[in-house]
Amino acid sequence: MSVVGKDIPHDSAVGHVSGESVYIDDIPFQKNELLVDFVGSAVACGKIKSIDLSQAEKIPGVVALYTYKDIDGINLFGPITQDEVLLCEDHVSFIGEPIVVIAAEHQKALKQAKKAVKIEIEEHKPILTVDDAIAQSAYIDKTYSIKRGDIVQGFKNANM
Amino acid sequence: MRDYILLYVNGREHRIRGEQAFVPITDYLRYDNGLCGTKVVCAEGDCGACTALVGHLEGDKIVYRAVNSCIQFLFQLDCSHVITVEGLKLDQQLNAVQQSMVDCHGAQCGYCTPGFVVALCGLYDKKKCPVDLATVKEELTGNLCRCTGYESIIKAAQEIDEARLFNADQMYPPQEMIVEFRKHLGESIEINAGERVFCNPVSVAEAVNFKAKHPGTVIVSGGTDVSVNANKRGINPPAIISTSNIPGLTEIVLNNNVIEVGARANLRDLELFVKDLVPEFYKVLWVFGSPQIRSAGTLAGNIANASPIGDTIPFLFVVNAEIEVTGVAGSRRIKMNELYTGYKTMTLKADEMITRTFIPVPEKTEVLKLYKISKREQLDISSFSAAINLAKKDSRIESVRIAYGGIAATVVRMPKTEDYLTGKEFTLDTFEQAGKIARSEIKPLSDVRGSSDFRLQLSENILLKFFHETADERELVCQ
Repeated sequence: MSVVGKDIPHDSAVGHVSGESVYIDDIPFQKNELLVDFVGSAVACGKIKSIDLSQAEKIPGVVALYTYKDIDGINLFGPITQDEVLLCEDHVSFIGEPIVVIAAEHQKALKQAKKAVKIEIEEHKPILTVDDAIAQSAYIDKTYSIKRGDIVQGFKNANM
Repeated sequence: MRDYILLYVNGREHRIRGEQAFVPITDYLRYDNGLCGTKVVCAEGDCGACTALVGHLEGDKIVYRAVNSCIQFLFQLDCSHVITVEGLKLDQQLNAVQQSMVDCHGAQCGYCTPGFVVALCGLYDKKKCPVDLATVKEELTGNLCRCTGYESIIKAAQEIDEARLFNADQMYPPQEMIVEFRKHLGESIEINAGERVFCNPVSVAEAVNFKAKHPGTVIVSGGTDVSVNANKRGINPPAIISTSNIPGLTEIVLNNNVIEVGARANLRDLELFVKDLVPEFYKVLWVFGSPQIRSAGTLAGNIANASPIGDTIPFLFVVNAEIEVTGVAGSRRIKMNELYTGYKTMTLKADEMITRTFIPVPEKTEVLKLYKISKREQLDISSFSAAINLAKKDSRIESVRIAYGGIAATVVRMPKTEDYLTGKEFTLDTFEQAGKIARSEIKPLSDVRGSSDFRLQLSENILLKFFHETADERELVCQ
């Protein structure tokens, strides 16, 4: 019980109050380090009509531009159910939802490239109420149910 | 003529030349000097994470003020000493503020912590322990925390070990810096970098000559607007003048019941000056940005920004304030009521700059009330503002001046409402009628800070509020 009842300072507090704690943006640049940012949706709901990266690609210092098509694997993530797209495919559902990822050698190129990416989105009416969502069958994930089963059989089958 | 900025950072001399003069000091600290303790979060002087102490020579002392360093560009900082969070330890030991923040659990994620620590060190550089709760809260209005919660920070601020409290002069003996500042202050600076030019003149005459030669010159003092425009909107003026080394512009004096405010006097000094003299104006200055903003910003800047929601403008209108502007041909006076010609435009000529503001102190017979309506009390942009200055004779209104902000392209006087009120009985009915007239003489816009209807209602209600706040018991009973 060496700590119970004792007033123990935060273990990082000395670094915090002296400005010596190192956060991501405080780490000095490494050789060949690239900076990454993304271009998000300008509208809250809509369908992506076209993405034009041709101007952004030409900017000196821009190393790569990626859309969902470049993801060699699964474009889904999420803490329990993986139902959120990493990069929008054809539909956008909030302002700022990532569509294009950019890697560049420096901030200036990154900023210019973000401006040079052209995304055309057909704006749709967002679903903002439960009633609207039901009417349009816009459900999150699928329905799960909890059922009683045979516990004895369950243990027999279990790998113990 | 110099071609460099002289600056000290945590006691070490720096000379800034060329393009580097045009970057915020936070970039210089973090990316060029590895001083990453100073954090940048909002980059517009709202959150306080970047708070640094900036010391300038005043008389024979270096006086330190806590400011938002993210909106202090290097060109603003000639002959100054910047103390960052890394520069607050003494002999490798935490100072009293830092130690108290550790002991009282004032840090959690730690990102806002350097800003709080520096702001508190700024407070304790001037004041003795213990500092009362109200002062601590007031001093920390410009620092936002989103995880620790303010209670533990405020507790830390009040449990400072006085024996371990060091002021800036103890940590950084000023003698050597003062000698260098004196040597450099009399010499003008011009820095050319590509398309941009910066001038640090040592007289008003030199400033206006430069301004005449370079159309579109922007004058920077505290930079609390200009720097936000640079950081957030990419607006980088081709020619810049800093007023930092022009002598004779920082004075605030009372002359024949008129407050004369030099163009470079900061709002914090003005606030203290008017505290007892014009308490209503003090109230507005108190909610005008954070202490960090007021320590940098100036009254002249608020006037020159020419915003329809400039917090000081309605007051300046109703007390018939005037400004002195100086150009190549000399100085002249302009009445505040005649200064603005449209949204962010003024009757100033291309070479002219504001050099002084003259604020008549309201007469004892006048009742002055100033109102600022915003979503939060501190650090917010007004949705609507109002100033009412009224003189009564017996039960009648002898004269009245009313100015509203946030309802047109400029701050405006309300002539029809004023005409109606003049000579009327000081009664609730009079102000109800006046409210209807006020509503009819304006056409406010709807925007993010309020709808047209909301502003119309405020223009009416504020007159009733004025009546209820200023009526004496007899006048209230008469209703």
